[in-house]
Amino acid sequence: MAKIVVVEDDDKDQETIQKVISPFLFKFDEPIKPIYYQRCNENLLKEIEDLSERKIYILDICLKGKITGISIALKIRENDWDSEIIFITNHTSYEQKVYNSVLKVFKFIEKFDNMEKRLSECLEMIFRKKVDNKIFAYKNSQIDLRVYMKDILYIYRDTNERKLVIKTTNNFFKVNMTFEEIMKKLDSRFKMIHRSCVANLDRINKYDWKAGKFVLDTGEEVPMLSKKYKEEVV
Amino acid sequence: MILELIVGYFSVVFAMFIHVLCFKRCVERKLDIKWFKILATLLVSVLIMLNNVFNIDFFKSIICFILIFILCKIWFNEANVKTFYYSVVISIISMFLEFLLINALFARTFNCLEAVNQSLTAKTTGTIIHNILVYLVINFEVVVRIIRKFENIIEKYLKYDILLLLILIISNLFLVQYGKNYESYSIYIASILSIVILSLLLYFLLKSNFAKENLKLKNQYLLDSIKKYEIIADDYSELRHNLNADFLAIRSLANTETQQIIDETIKKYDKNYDWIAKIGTIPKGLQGVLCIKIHEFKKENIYVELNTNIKEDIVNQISMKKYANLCEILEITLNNAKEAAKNSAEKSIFISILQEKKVIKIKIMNTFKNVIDIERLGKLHYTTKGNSHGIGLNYISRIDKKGLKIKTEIINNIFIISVEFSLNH
Repeated sequence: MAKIVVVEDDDKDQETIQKVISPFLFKFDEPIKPIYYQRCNENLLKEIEDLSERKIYILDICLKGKITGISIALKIRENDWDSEIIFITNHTSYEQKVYNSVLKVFKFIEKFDNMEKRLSECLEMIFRKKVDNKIFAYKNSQIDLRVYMKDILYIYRDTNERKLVIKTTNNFFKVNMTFEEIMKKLDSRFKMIHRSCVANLDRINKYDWKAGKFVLDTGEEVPMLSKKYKEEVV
Repeated sequence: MILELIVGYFSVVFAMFIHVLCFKRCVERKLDIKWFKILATLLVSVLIMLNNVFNIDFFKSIICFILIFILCKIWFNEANVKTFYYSVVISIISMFLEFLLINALFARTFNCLEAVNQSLTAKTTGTIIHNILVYLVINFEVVVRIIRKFENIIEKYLKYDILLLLILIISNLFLVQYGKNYESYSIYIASILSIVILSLLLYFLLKSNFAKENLKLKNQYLLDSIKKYEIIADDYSELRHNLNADFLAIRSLANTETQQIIDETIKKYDKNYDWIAKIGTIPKGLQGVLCIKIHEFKKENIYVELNTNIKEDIVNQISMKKYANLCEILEITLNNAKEAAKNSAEKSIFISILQEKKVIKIKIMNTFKNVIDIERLGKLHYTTKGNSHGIGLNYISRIDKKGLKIKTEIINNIFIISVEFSLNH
């Protein structure tokens, strides 16, 4: 069962959201249960802590009082990186970019800009899409590292330090692992494309076998492509 | 004999009036002269004379003091503690001056204390000089200011009243002792030193307490201001919420050009002040560290989100050591967060301080853009920030075992430090 958790303090807006959600309740094979809150309370906190079901949160950013939708999203993301978050907002702002990246927000929807239609489209997308929240996890005595596999671009060997370097959309992480060990932790989208490089094939836009390089969806060109591994990739 | 009694009586009456005048100077009151007050003074003087002649040495000063206290109460009807305080202080000053006077004027200078005791005129002159001296000293602005300064503390704490009374009794005992052995220079020096040391001790004790009280008062004002500020911040928050909603309702009805103007207006006034409204909920003691840090973040254009639900005053519920460690960890973590976030694209720091039953959970999340060596992170001198860094995380990991549970995580592009501790121990 999936749950749609709505936090909206305005009665009118909550009614509108309710109307949007209703058609989805019996649309898919998966049963869907909507829950409505007007503010952050004990029950909502319990709901957030319960990770047994898949959830879609629809949060109004600007709630009356000290606890905003952002605070609730932060609480959700303390343990739950699988549920989707949709923010209902009065207006777009600079912070949206921040939240989008940090809190992995599915969508920001403006209340006065076709909210019903856009919210409906979002829910449709979420319920139809193949959820890809697989995580690569690594742990040592100091730190826990967890990265979405979809965010990993490629992994290469740093020959000087003899460590593997995981390149993600924003950062580089150096770990003490071999290719053999790391491949066991990754799924099939990751393939060896060079003797010193494993790449996320979902993120590669172009293979230039002749020049020995590949181009990522970020536009970055990586000169670590070997014909020897062509068969595996193709 | 009769003449001696009459003169002696009037010198006591004179001393009582001087005491009343000194008291008046201290409490800054008008001398409201009434017949019953004068009669009371005359009666008290009789009783003091009888006390001086018939009572045993040890009780003389106590009874004398009680009589003076009653007299001041009749004259000014001030609160008991206030009357007590000023009466004791004036008595101690009077006794100290008597010491100096006896020794300096009669015993040492003229070497004639025995003769003075025999001469009625000399004795009366001595009493008059002594009382005028007391009046002059009390009338010094500095002296009276110091005396008044400690009035509130004395009124508040009974222990200081008892100490004052003890000093008075000890001083009197010394005075009696010296009266019997006025030729002994060592008794004189010991007496003077004892009175001075005891008075100074009490003075510094009162002074330190005065400073503490002042600080307490200032803190109280600050706390009151914070409470008032929180109410204003709440109102502001609600007003902003409603104003935004109204603005956007109008926007939905407006044409494109007006919509743009409304958008720009909203953007212009849309400052991230939410964290300020939440400061009141941050546990006391952490407010300072967080305010300074958040101010620093703002200067670096870092977006800050603060989330708290603390209702209790946690500072009083944990040991000082744990509290010091906690502040240190926060300081280091927030510094690290600032350095890391300012280089990232999103430039954001999220601070969450939550209480779940008796457990406080502090989580600091920041964005970063770096090459991070997972194996060396937290090791001494490993840093992602350049030279002279690389001590913070290592230091934190060593604090770990001192009652605070610390966890370091990286989730995607967010660096997270969680600090957890119990309020019970």
